[in-house]
Amino acid sequence: MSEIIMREDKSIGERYYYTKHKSGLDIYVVPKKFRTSYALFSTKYGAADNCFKLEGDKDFVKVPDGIAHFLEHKMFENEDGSDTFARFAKYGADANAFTSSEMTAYLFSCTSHYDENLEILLDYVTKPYFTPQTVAKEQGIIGQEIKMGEDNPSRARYYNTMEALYADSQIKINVAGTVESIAEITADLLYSCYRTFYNLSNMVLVTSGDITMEQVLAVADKVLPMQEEKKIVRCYNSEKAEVNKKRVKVQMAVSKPMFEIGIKDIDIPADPKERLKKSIAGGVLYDMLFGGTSDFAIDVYESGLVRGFGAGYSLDHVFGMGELVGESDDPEAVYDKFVKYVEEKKKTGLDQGEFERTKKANYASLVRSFDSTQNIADNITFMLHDDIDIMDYSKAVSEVSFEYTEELLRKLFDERYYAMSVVEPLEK
Amino acid sequence: MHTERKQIAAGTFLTVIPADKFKSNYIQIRFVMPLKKETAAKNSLVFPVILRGTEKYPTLADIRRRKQELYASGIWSGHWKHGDNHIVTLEASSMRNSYAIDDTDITGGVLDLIGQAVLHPVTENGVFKAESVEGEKKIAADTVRATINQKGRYARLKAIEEMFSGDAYGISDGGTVEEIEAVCPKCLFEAYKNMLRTARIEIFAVGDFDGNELEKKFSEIFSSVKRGGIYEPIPDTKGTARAEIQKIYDRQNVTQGVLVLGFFTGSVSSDDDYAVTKVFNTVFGGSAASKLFMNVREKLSLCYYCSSSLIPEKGAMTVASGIQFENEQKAFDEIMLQLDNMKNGEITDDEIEMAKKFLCDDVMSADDSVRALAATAFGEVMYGKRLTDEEKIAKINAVTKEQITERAKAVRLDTYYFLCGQEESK
Repeated sequence: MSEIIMREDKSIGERYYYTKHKSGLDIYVVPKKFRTSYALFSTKYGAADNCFKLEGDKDFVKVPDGIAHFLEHKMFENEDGSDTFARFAKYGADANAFTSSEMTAYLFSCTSHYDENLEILLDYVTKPYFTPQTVAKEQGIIGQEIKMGEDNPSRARYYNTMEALYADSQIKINVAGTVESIAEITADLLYSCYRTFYNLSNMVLVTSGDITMEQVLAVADKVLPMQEEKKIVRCYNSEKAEVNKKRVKVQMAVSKPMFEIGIKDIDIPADPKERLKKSIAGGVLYDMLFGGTSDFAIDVYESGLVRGFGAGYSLDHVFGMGELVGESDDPEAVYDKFVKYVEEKKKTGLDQGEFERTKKANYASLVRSFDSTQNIADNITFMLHDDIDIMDYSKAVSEVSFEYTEELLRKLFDERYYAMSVVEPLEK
Repeated sequence: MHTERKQIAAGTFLTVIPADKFKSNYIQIRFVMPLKKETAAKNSLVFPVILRGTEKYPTLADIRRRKQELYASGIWSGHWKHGDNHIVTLEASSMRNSYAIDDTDITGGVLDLIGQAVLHPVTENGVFKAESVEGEKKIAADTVRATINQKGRYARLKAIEEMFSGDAYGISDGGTVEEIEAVCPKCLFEAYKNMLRTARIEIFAVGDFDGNELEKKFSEIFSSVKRGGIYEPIPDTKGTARAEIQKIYDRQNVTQGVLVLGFFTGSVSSDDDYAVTKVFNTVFGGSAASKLFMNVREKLSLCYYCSSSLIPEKGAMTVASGIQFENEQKAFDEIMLQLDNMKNGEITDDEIEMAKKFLCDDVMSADDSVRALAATAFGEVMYGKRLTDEEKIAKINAVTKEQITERAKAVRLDTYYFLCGQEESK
């Protein structure tokens, strides 16, 4: 039997148990005395992975946009004709799945019959079954999901920001694809993506609840096939530092203009520890500059310039960006204000007291994220996909220095990295 | 778990729900008032305006900095309708003191902020500051206008408003743009005073609190308020379907249609056998294993979503689905066919079993969310019934196929609403 490792963060009072299962799957268990147990079984495979090969293969394979998400939908069908939702429903579990640019994940939550539900999860995700008929049926359903997205201005705003920031990066590929691109999907293509990315060595199971590692391993032993590790080579397009387009605008049925200012950041540290440091400092910096207590946020709220203002910074091993979002009658005025404000801050520098308070807030949000088994497993998974261990997080927060954060202020903000997408109301 | 509800002032009650498994503490004060067109906008605006400045923390920046010092505690206000009642909340969520890395008294600080918000708003000439009122009016009006941005949500809201036109429940809980724009500093201050004087006040505290300390603090706050003419909430009212189905086409610039059907079920949440309606709804369209999901989506691939949800306090149910314009009739026919099947008793044991498990899971999981715990406790107050989780589960499991069939037969379509493109169905 593989070794079980326990890691903990005493300051927040949390721990997990980890083991590499003999099938090749990494398993993390976070025991919590909650009634709801939750499991997230995920693969490092998302919409951005449209060009890949296995190590040793000669050529890269290029697949249609939206196939990772399509594959997620199709995993719910089984060879014996049974429906996966119904299988879970028999044990009272609430099941679902989601696909992002870099991940596909399958999940359930339940308050009883955990072992049975985990068995269903591990079983259906490791047993693909696609036919031309079931593929055709799904094209109708996902076609409607895409249409729903087309009527969603927040989504349009997001993808237009990606279009403005990036010239070639696959991060801007629409996760659901287009009606045209999903029409090119075949059962064979689905199998090819499945065999590449659903290898257990490319996946992770994170589960939390009133459960033990032994319990999880008993199910894993029963269900999971032994697999040879596969080395995947992904082909990500390179990007220049400057934005692709300064503005992308579209008109939709919205009440007032919705804007998103994107701040491109292609400087991605290869070392996970450096990346974690940069990602935390970037988050703290954005909170200081644009968070609720910032001069900027208070100004746009009190003056009524922006409704629903929000800002944040994100960085992982594939891409990084900052964003400011909201609704405003005058997005260009918001943009100008943002540019001037940041230039001013670069001159005056940051406030040390504010820095410490913001770090405390950041720590509190980590502590409180452990109040739900779903949050726990989701957060651990997102970090693992980026080679980050959640038990290192609170220490990394405390170690982020004021000097490093100020340095980031000067590096991250430059007009060459800024772009804005606006969703405007339709002309009357 | 032992919860206790105590009266701390006239018509004012505190329920402490001890729960030490959370790292957060949660406080929710519910001001329960009648849902009326004349007051909806004003009631909803009171706390957003107050949260721009109190005597001790006079500006928005002061309040926000204070919240940040308290380890980014949240204090906010909400409003919604519960049957014919208008509920306005003041809520606070914060990290427990024991996790603070210094000696900050987070809980004490949050209670102090709540006291400030309830009793000590910043005033100017004896009323709210005009600037704050105008600022929040603009945000509230923009929020109402922005409903159109989310098509699915917009469609369901509109359909419900049409279904209950002429009934209190048809009133928009945040007011209409016109109602919001008509609010003035003086009349808003009167609404605030009236809320403090006449609302039924229910306070819920979930987490790791010293019950006595809380009781003392809230008694202090509310004993200084003059109370009278206190509102008695209405638990629920059973609506009945129109003689003729009302059909509405809402034409907007959309690429996908949203069909919403409004039904009356003939039963409300205070009914002893309301569990039957819940099981009926879950089998029909309440889960991913339901008839609507399995047929409208999976079998006919007409949509990405098709689901039903209950409005228990009004004895109503809505079905919503996002579809291609040209599939309007097909989708409607299939939804009604599934309902007819249930009326004819075409319900499998499996379907009933799955629905029951689904609902039992809901009952059990409420214990894992501070907000759900507060909501459950409020339900107990409204209906004067307190059941243990085991009793609730027993009620669900006792539901029979015959009862579900009978309930299905009582369901009546009232409103047919279709959000569609400019050219459709003319």
